Amino acid sequence: MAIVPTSHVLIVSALLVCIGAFGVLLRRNLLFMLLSLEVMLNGAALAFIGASARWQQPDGQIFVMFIMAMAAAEVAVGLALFLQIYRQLSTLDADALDVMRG
Amino acid sequence: MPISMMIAAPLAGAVLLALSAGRADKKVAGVVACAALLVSWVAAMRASLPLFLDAFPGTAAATSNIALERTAGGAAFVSEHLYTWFAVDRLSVDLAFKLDALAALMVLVVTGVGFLIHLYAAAYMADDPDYTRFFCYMNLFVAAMLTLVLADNLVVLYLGWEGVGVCSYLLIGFWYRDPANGAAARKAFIVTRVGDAALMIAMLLIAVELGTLQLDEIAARAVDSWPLGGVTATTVAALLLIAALGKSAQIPLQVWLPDAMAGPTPVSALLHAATMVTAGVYLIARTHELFLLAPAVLGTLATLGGLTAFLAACSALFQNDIKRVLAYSTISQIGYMFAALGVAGFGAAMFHFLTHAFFKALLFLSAGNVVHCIHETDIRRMGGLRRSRALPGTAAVAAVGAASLAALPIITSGFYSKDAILWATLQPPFVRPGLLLLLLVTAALTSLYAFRWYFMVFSGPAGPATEQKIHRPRDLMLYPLVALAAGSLLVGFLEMPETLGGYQAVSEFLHPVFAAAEQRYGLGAGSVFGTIEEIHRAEITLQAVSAVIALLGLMLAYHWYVIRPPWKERIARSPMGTSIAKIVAAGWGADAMYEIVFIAPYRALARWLHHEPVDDAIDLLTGSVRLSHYLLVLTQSGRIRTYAAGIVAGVTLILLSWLWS
Repeated sequence: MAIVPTSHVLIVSALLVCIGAFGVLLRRNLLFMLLSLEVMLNGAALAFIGASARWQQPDGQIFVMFIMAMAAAEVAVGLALFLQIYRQLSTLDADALDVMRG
Repeated sequence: MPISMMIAAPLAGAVLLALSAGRADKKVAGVVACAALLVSWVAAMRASLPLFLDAFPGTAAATSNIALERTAGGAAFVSEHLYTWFAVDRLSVDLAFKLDALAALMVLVVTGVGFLIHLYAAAYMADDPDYTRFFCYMNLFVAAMLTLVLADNLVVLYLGWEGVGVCSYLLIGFWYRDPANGAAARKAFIVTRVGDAALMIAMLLIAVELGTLQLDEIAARAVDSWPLGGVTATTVAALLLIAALGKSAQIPLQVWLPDAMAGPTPVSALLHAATMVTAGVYLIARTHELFLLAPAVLGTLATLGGLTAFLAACSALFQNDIKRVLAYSTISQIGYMFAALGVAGFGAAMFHFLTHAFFKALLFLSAGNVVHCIHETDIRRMGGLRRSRALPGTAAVAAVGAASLAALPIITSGFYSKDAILWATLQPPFVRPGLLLLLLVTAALTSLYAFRWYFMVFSGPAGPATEQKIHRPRDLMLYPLVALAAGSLLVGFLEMPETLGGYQAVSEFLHPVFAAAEQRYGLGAGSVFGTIEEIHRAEITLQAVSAVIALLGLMLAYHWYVIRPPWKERIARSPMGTSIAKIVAAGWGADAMYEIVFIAPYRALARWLHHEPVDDAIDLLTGSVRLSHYLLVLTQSGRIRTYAAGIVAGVTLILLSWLWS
């Protein structure tokens, strides 16, 4: 079984985080922003897996379990919020939702 | 009892009139006010009697049952202790009065001349709707002055001192409906306050340094513990001098007196002759021991007195208001008294105070008659009143007053008192020939302006104001003038110089008060002229010179203001003549100087403060907070993507810095 070098894992992980971050910043639809956020989380989880394999320790894998659980909860809460927002304001455009400006 | 009676009578009169609140009949109010002064006068004579008997034993058959006490120096006095006002630590202040020879002279003049002025005012003010208020203030004025004079300690003296200040304010601004009168009253009050503040500081300094405020104790302890010319003595004397300068309207605090003419004429007479302006002279005579301990201050006093006498006499020469001439003449005459005090001629100063009280009251009341009868104050519009059938009596007594002010020789009292002052300038240890010269020049000017005043009002051709029909003054407005005129002529004979009989009742009477100081400093001992014959020759020369000067002034005044030579008119009308006259008439620009030095900066400050500079500092703080608020609000856009961008940028920055370090 070919061993993937840790650096490759980290590069892919960094790419995932960056793609997710750009998605959050550039997308205006809240749903897509949430999706991008999930991509970022996956980047972080990948880094944990790589590190866990590198040092032969279970900690990283346990953390990934946490991340997945948290992501599920986040999506649940986020989607519920989006539903409410859409009901109240009839839009999911993040830039239109600036009622909290100072 | 007779001492407090003196003060209580006018005080009770004032209270009574104040409580009547204008409901009292005019006749009743006038009688109450005059009776109060009469009672006070009788009480003054009764209380002074033992002092007279002590000073001149065997001259009168009268006896007195008032107990006489003596100071350590042997000066007789009558005292009265009412109660202890307050006692703190070592310092105890009593409400106590003391009548010695100096105070006796003052109270007799204040009550006597004051009574005559009250009598006159009862007729003069008869048409005024605020008759009761007027006499209430007048009585209070006299009560305050008597408190000042009779005070046994500085605190009671200060009480009277402030009392005359308040009363002068009330009386100068008596016709308060004219804002100009109110301004004059405020000016008088504020300018004299400068002196009052100095007196207060002097009082505190004395209390701290000597632990007493009782006047005799102050003198005794100061002589014991303060070195001659020491810093403390000089400071205290200088402060007392400032106080006296303010109250007596001397340079540099002279500006209030000419404006004080805004009050009714009897007020001017009272203010100038008996109360108020002579308080400064009295204060210095009373604290002469402190002044003698500070020769520098004494010298300043003499210089300021001489200078004031001269400059005010010049100003008097150019005044055209019948009362302003007299106002400047008062400043000038008080300057004479100050000069005399400055060369330790205390007796001469007090004698001049005595004669001045008579002729100045006389002059003011004569001026009052003129103004009352022709309703005009500009002397250029008067003339020929001597020939008017309405005012012959006034013209005659005014002539006596002017002659006394001009010090015409032999017959007038002014001659003797002015001569005493001139002679005092040549007495060791304070010999001041320069001052003598200045006072002689002033004497010439005095004679000139006194007769200018008389001639322009009473002689020459009739002016526009005197051509119409003139009604007669009331009889009661003439009787006090006759009494004052008699005083102006006769009081001088109380004090004859050595060369003219040497009968010196006033000096002899006052002598015990100043005896201790005279002995200590050798005042009046020896002479710059050597033998008795030489002294007499010098004295008679001086008298001859001053007599000639007075007569020259009279002749020049007659030539200028009755004959009116064309060349004099030409000079007076020339541009230079008019501009000089304008400056001198304005009191040498003293008011303008005060305007520039004090009033204008104060106004500018007030204007600045009006815009609340303290608020500006606070506003700066709130302004900066508000500005930062606006800047911070910009960051709270409410856009989630902006916030996310911020977080990403922050994380990137942290990571980058971590990478590079």
